[in-house]
Amino acid sequence: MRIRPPSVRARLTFWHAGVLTLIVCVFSVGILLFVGARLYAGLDAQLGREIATISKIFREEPDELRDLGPDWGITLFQVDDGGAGQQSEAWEREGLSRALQKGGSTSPLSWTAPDGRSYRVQSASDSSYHVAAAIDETSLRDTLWTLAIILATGIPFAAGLAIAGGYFLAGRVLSPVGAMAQKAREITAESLAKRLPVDNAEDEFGRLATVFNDTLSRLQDAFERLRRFTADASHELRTPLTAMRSVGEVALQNPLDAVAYRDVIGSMLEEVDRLTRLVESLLILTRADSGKVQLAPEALDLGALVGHVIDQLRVLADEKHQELRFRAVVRVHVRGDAALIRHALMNLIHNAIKYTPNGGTISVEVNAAGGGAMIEVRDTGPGIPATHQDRIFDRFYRVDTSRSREAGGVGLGLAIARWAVEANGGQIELASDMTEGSLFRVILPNASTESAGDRQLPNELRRAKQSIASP
Amino acid sequence: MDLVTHKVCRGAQSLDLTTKEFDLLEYLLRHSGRVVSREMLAHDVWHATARATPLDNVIDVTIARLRRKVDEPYERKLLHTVRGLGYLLSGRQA
Repeated sequence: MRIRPPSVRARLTFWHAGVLTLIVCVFSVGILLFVGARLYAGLDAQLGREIATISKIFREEPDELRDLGPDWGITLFQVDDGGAGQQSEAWEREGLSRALQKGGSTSPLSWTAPDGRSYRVQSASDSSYHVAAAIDETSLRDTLWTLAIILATGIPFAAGLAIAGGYFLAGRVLSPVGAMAQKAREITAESLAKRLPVDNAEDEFGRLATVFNDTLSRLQDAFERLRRFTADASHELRTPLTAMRSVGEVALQNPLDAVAYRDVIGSMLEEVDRLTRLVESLLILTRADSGKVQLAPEALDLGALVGHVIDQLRVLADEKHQELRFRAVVRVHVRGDAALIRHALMNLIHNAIKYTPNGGTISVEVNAAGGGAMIEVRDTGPGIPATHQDRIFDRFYRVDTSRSREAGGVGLGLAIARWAVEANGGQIELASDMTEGSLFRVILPNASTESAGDRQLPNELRRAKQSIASP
Repeated sequence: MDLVTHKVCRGAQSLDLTTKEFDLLEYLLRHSGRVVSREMLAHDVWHATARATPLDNVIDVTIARLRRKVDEPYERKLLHTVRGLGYLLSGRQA
């Protein structure tokens, strides 16, 4: 079973206090061990000096040993020379000889008497005698014990302080998160223009807020486009409906003969036709947005495909006495959905014919570019002003509203063309470096310019078939 | 209309038609007396799989050019536009 983690603040506090307490514990034990070692070292050094003094006196003036207590402050000692030996009264009283029986080694050792007092005992041997001395270490033990109690009571205190401080600090550090959450809660679809506060763009929270704000900006743009699209679509749908309504109303107000009624119905059907076409275009774009369009990629001879489209549209250019030129510089094959690419090219070239005045020239060129194929549609029309260039592929966007509507467009052609090209992994762009006319460039990826033997035949066949179908 | 030699005459006058205009006229003749919609023309004459605005314009313009050649010099019009429905090739006046 996993315990659900509490808030970040609590976790930060827990870890902070935990680590701090651990450090304090380790540190306390270290201090205790160090101080203990130093105190015992001092005690042992004193013992060593006492033994040296006792030995010296024993060797030189054995009778003076009795005066060791009053003269030197050495009250606990024993000298054993194989004979009677000598020991101080206190030594005898405490029975310190038992301490020596235990080890027999000459290194200092601690021994606790039955009455609870503890002593530090050390012995030394010469060829003829043993000397032993002891020092009461009870006060040293008390000191160490006191130190241990002080440290032990200090640890919970430090831990408590760490928890309080950690909780406060975590709260301080995390307060921007709370503020951001509060602000973010206020942001709705209607108030997408609001942004999160950025106190310091360099720190982690600042960067987080900046990322959020960038996301919000993109969302706002998307919402704005959607809103505009809906508004434009409604407007375009309303126009034919208004026309139908007024035609119907006028027809109903006056009694007419059969021919006139037929005319009215025909006029209404024309508007229905306009509506149908508009709705079909919108459906294409909606399906495109939802990504539900199934592509049927196949190997395409791009030159043949463009040539076919141009053959179909040539009659429109002829009608306006325009010259429609087509040149395939190299033979390029691409993989793509024929219907979509044809649709895109049809819209592009049709646009060029539509906006180029009578007697103008439209030239279409197919070429290889890098690893891809390039189709350029150039016209001698009025061109597209720089202010409109970045929005020209937007839905319902028209450079000159009145003129374009006259020409029968609703402003979806380039939007559909862009989607059709991009769905095939390509790009479409308007070359902005033109001084006269416009130049639309379509780049399609994964092109092969070589005409391998086994692929040539089907393409030749296809071209032959197309020329029969549409000369 | 001679489908083998691709020659068309109205009365004694021979008409000079493009291939597409010929195909269109042939289709209209086969459906003579019936209204032919743009959808039918796009599908059967232009062999288009999807309907597109540019193609509608192409059909309108081709019809207009055909009409110029077939009907303009004559008093009696044969190629009629039926508003909202399409086109009709018929000997009688609509």
